[in-house]
Order: sequence, then C-alpha cells, then structure tokens
Amino acid sequence: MGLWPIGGRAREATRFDREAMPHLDAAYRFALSMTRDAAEADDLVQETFLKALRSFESFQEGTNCKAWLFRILRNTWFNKLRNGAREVDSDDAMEAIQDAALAGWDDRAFYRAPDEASILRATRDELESALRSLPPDFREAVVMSDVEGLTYKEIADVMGTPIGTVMSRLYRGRRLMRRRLAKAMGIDEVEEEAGGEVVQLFAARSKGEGGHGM
Amino acid sequence: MECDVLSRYMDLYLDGELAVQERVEVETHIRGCEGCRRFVTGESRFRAVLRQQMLAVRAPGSLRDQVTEKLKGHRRSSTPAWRPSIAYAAAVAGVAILGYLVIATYPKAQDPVAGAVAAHVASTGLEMSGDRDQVETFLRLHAPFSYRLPVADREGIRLVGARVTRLNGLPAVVYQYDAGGKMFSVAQYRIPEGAAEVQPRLDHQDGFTVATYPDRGLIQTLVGDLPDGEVSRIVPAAWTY
Repeated sequence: MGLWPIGGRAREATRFDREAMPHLDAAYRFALSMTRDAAEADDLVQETFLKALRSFESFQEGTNCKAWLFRILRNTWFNKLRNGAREVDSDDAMEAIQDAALAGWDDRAFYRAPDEASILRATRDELESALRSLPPDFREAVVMSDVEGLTYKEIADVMGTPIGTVMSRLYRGRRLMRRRLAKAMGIDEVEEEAGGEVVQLFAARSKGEGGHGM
Repeated sequence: MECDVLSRYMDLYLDGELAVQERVEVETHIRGCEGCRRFVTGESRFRAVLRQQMLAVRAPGSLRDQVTEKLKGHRRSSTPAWRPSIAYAAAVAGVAILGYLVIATYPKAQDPVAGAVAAHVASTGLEMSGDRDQVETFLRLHAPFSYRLPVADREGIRLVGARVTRLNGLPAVVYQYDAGGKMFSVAQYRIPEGAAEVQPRLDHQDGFTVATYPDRGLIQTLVGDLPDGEVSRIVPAAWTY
C-alpha cells in the first residue's frame, strides 16, 4: 500500500536523493534523445523525477535505478505523444527500409582507413545529428547501450521488448548511424567491387572540392 | 571460428554479453586475424569517442534547481501517498450495504497490477477503436465473460476502444478511455473461484497511478498517467451504476 510511516518517509526521501538524483544528467540526455527538443526534455525530466519520487516504493533495491528512471521517462513521453493509441511499432516496415540502406555495406570498411580520416574524428555535433537521424526505436537502443552503458536485459525492460529485439535494434541502429555519420563527414564508400570483397571507404573526392587533405 | 561467424558475435563481444567460453573463442580468433582485430579495435575506439562526447552533455543547472525545488515542494505538501477520499469510502460502504460488493478473491501469486501496467504500455493493439456503442457491439461478440463497462461515459471521460486479451493467464478485457486528452486504461477480469480477498488499493508503478478494486464479481485495474486525485474521482464512479 502507498502509506509510508512518518519516519519511513524521511528515509525514503534520503534514499531517493542517493539512488535517483545522480542520474539526472543521464535522464536529461535520454530525454533529449527522445524528444529532440531542449524545452520538452526539461519538462519531461521534471515530470519523470516527480513521478519517480511518488513511485519510489516500486523501485527494487539492487536493480539499476537509471534503467528504472528511463522506463518512467519513456512511458511518460509516449503517454504525452499518443492521442488515442500509440502508433504500433512499424518494425517490419522499418526493417525493410534499413536493410535496403545497409545492403552492400561492410561494417569493417569503417576502420580500414587511417584514423585521421575516419569517423573516429567525428565532432559532438556530427555524432548528435547522426544519432538524431535514426528511427526512434533504434536511437533509444543505441543511446541506452553505447552512451549509458545499460545491459541488453535492462534495455529490454525499459523498452518492454524481448532481448532479441534489443539486439536487432542495436545491430541495425549502430550500422545505420555509422553509415550516416560517414556520409555526413564526406567519408563514403564508392561502390562495391565485383565479388563484394572490397568496399572502398573513401570517395575519391574530386580535387576541386577540397576535402580532408587526402 | 570464421570471420563471418565472428561478425555475428561482434556486438555481443564488444557489449560484454558473451559467456566466458564464447569470449575466449572470439579472442582466440581475433589474435590470429588482422581484419577482425582492426575492426574490433576501431569499433571499440569509436564507442569510446561516442561515449565520451555524448556524456559531456549535462543537465542545465536551471533544470537541476527546478527538479530539486519540485521534489522539495512535493515532500512538504504530500500527504501519505494515498488515502481513499471520504466520497470513495462512502461509495464503497454504500455498495457493500446494497450487497453488490462481492468479496473479491484472487490467487496471491498473480499480481493484477504488473499485468495491467504492461497491458497499458502495450495498448498499441486496440482491437476495436470507436465510441461506446461500437465497443459494446464488439464486446457482445468477443468478451470472454459477462463484461461490464467499468467507467460510465460522462463529461470529460470517453471510452475510445477495447481489446480482449489474457493477463496473468486469465481472460481479460482492456478498455481504453480518454480523460481530456490523457489516456487511461482499465483491465477487467472475472474473479477466479476460491481466491483470496482483494481490497481496493492504489499503487504507483513505472510512473503510472494504478488503482485496483473489486466490482460486483469483477476485478478492475485502472492504469493511467493521472494524479491520485483524478483517479479517486474516477474510481468511485465505477460504483455508482
């Protein structure tokens, strides 16, 4: 039941400060990646922390508090978004599009190039906009794993999906992100050679356009 | 292990999600394969760059202050998390006196709250969207038990759809309502034979307010992104048919 004994409430409050407050930055980053808008992210984080305080009894000690906050944040966001039923995940349609986008792409090609001309040099702006360009389900999975360090199981709990779905969203999301990043940085494969063995990473940029000093 | 086999394990390897034995196999392969080694090195360096750059994004100081203030305000003003309103208590008592209140029983192992929250979050799959008449037509044909609309239509609250499903292994109907732009859902089950008594209760889970209450042979669990006051305003309505 929701009744805290008086002494218990103060203890709960301290525990909340200790467990939840350190994740404010992470919650803000996650909110930004979901809303893609700073003002919306602000509101969402405030609402999330209020709800978290109210629901703190349902947080299980020993589990990842960051993941628990993300789940509340995500539920709150989708609740705001949906007017009527939330749109059904269009995973199947999305997969077809992503597969087309990834066809012929060899992820090893990203790291065949010397460092000074690879996606390792991406700036924060470039990384952010590559993340933003991902379909929401992929973006969430990539942010939770690659930035926030959640495990597959934790991500599956946040998203309410089986672990297999998390793995497939990560796989596609990561590759799509790297590919878009490479494109945006002007580092791109030219074409797949016959036999598909070698994918050239660098477009032979015409000298007139300048480039990365290659 | 071949390179193409390895590439399927690569994400799991880099994410630290492989069992020890698989990990050893991957590492053995990497030691002997320059292509894979370069990929693993490049990919882990890229992840480090991504992480480092993105972790530099911090909540603005103003947001931190606002959150701290809000939490303080909430703690000062909040009464214990929920106390049924007098109207609610009166409604419950009234119904009981009229003999409508069946002593609700429920197997202890099954938690109606958990199932109902999951159903609310997944309420993507409304089988039937429409107004009250359309929903009733649908339920007359498909409901697995003799259903009863849990909340009467009234100003500001509108039935917008329903579906028939199973929650906690029991046949259930999930209704979706629109309360002035905020959605809430009510999962309804028939009370199983010979189960323990269910008292009306209110929980907060995953950011939702969840009210569970017995109603004339049925158990209903309301889940919504609603303040407690709003829920206790809606819940008594369920008793006033």
